[in-house]
Amino acid sequence: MQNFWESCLATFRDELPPQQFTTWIGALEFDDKKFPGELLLTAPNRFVLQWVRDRYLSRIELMAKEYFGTDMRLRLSLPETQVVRAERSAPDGPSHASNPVPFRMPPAPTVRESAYAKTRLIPSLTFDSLVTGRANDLARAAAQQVAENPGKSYNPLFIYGGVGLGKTHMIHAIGNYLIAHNPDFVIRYVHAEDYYSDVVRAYQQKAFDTFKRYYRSLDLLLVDDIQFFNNKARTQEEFFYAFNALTEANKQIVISCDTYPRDIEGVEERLTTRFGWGLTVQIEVPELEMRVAILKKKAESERIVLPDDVAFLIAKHLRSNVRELEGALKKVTAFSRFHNTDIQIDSAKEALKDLIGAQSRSITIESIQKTVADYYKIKIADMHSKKRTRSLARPRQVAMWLAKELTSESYPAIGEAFGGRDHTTVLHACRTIADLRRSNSQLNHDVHLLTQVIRG
Amino acid sequence: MRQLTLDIRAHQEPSLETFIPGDNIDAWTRAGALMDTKSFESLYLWGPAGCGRTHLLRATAQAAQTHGRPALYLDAGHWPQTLSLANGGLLAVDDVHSLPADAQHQLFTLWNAARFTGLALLIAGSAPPADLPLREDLRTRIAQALVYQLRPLADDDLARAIRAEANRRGMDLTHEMSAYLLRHCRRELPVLMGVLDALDEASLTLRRLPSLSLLREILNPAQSRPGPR
Repeated sequence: MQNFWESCLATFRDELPPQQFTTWIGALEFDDKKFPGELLLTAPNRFVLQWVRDRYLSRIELMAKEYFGTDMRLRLSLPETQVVRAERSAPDGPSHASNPVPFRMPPAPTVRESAYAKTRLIPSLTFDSLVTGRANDLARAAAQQVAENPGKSYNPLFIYGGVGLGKTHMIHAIGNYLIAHNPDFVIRYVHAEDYYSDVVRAYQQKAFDTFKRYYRSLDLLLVDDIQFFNNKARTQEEFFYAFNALTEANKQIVISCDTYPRDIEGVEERLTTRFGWGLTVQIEVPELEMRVAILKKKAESERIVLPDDVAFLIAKHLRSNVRELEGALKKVTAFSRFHNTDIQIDSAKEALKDLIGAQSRSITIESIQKTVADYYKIKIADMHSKKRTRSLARPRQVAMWLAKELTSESYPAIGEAFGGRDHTTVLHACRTIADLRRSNSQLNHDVHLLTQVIRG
Repeated sequence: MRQLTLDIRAHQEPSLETFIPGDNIDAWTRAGALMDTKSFESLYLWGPAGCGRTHLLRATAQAAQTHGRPALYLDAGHWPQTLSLANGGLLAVDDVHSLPADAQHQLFTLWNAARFTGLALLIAGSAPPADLPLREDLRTRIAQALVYQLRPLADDDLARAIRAEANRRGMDLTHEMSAYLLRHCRRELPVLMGVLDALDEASLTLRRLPSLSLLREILNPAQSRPGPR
């Protein structure tokens, strides 16, 4: 019976544009064994399911009737495994889906949670998954040292660096290493904003004793983005006491920040001095080779085949942080999946355009006129002039055609910009160039080149 | 005598079905898939005004609601003081490029908590992530999302879109008229829809059927100015 579906696919492939075919029909899985006498089509998600039901189902039914000579029952459904898969992809899952919670209050740890969940660590952020290079090798060595000898080597460990360079990864790695080797350790990862929220909540619920007891009971406290403590006096005060209590008891504190301790704005000096007591290490912007390695590692962990030239291309274009690299990899992968091709340099270039906006420079009629005038070595004024010699008129027509193709301007507006010409002149120019491109290869080449230059 | 009209034009709620994807089919399907309660992706769509950002965001939020996923559509200009959305919801944020500082802060916090709250994010703005004038920690998170540039519709798709809209309003828009519109107006959907509005209204007030000559009169009242720019 599989032949039926193959013939269906062939029909739709002929009828639909390739992208539509891939999106709606190619995405369906066909099964005629599961339910005897019925045909089962599985859609990857609800959107595709609904679309297929509305647009194509009756057509498929008709084809089935023709093929089998009788009415066939067609069943359209979602994959059974989708639920399980999706739940796994959201680590903590929306398990209390119907309980609205205010956004700014991440749920406080509750007794029902597993010990690991209470740490708020992300399991995938480990030393193993961390790429090391010149930009972070010192920080990594220090982090590893701290993870192996908590509270004894450097306390606090203060890691600083720009946005998206992997500070969070580094401090989660310490936490994950420690809990793997000391399952009884009480560990907490907290973003500075969440610490602040906890202080506010303690205020509201008059529960400062519980708050203090909790933070002082930790064996390892990981505080991310401490610059967010700026100008929050009560939060700073609470942290000051927690800091003192923990360090006196030889409990480890690790802090991340976007800057060197002394440069943090709006944070009391008694805190910033203390931040410098242990070891302060910097994470720098990764160099090209390291960026490539980060991409390769990420691809490997997601089982994506990423050719070297594509990794280099991405790494060359996105220099400033790791987050953008990850976004680019995600984009390139999605693009190749959608178009059903392997990841290749050409498709990667195409995918990257969306990310860095190669064509985002706004194209105006003026910029087109200037580029075309430069190209043909005529004056910009000739774009507006009434002269009709071929050497001026042709470039002018090319510029009009480009204005029509590359901007949203109307014909009258384009005419206006070319010395107040009538819209029919523009229409004529566009038709002329469209025709000439087919017969005159030099002109076709010019137009192609100009389009590239103008688009940037 | 002019007929007075009541402003009871049925403006259509944007839906995923009425979105004409053109070259944006990939972005459209990805956004549409977010209606599913089991999808936790973060998407960022960007493009110039009029490229369909708002339509896609509103439509996806609406579709999610219909399918039982709590969803909220917010634009930068109307940001509420406090936000509340059930876990596992979908948050659509429009015009992120002009998000005020407070709202940026809130969005940043939400983004960090999304992992725990099962929140899906659908963000739209006018520029690629690299050029967004936002705080760096939020901007890079947006860059980490799956990013799509929304590309303007080709003339054929624009013509299809305005004919479909005219049809929905019960107006008879001939091919000649839609071709005229595309020649004389900026080829952007909001502009073209605006002209349809004007044509609809003129047809009611003047009690004349929509026609090419009525269209010409609207676009060139004094026969001197070119169409709306």
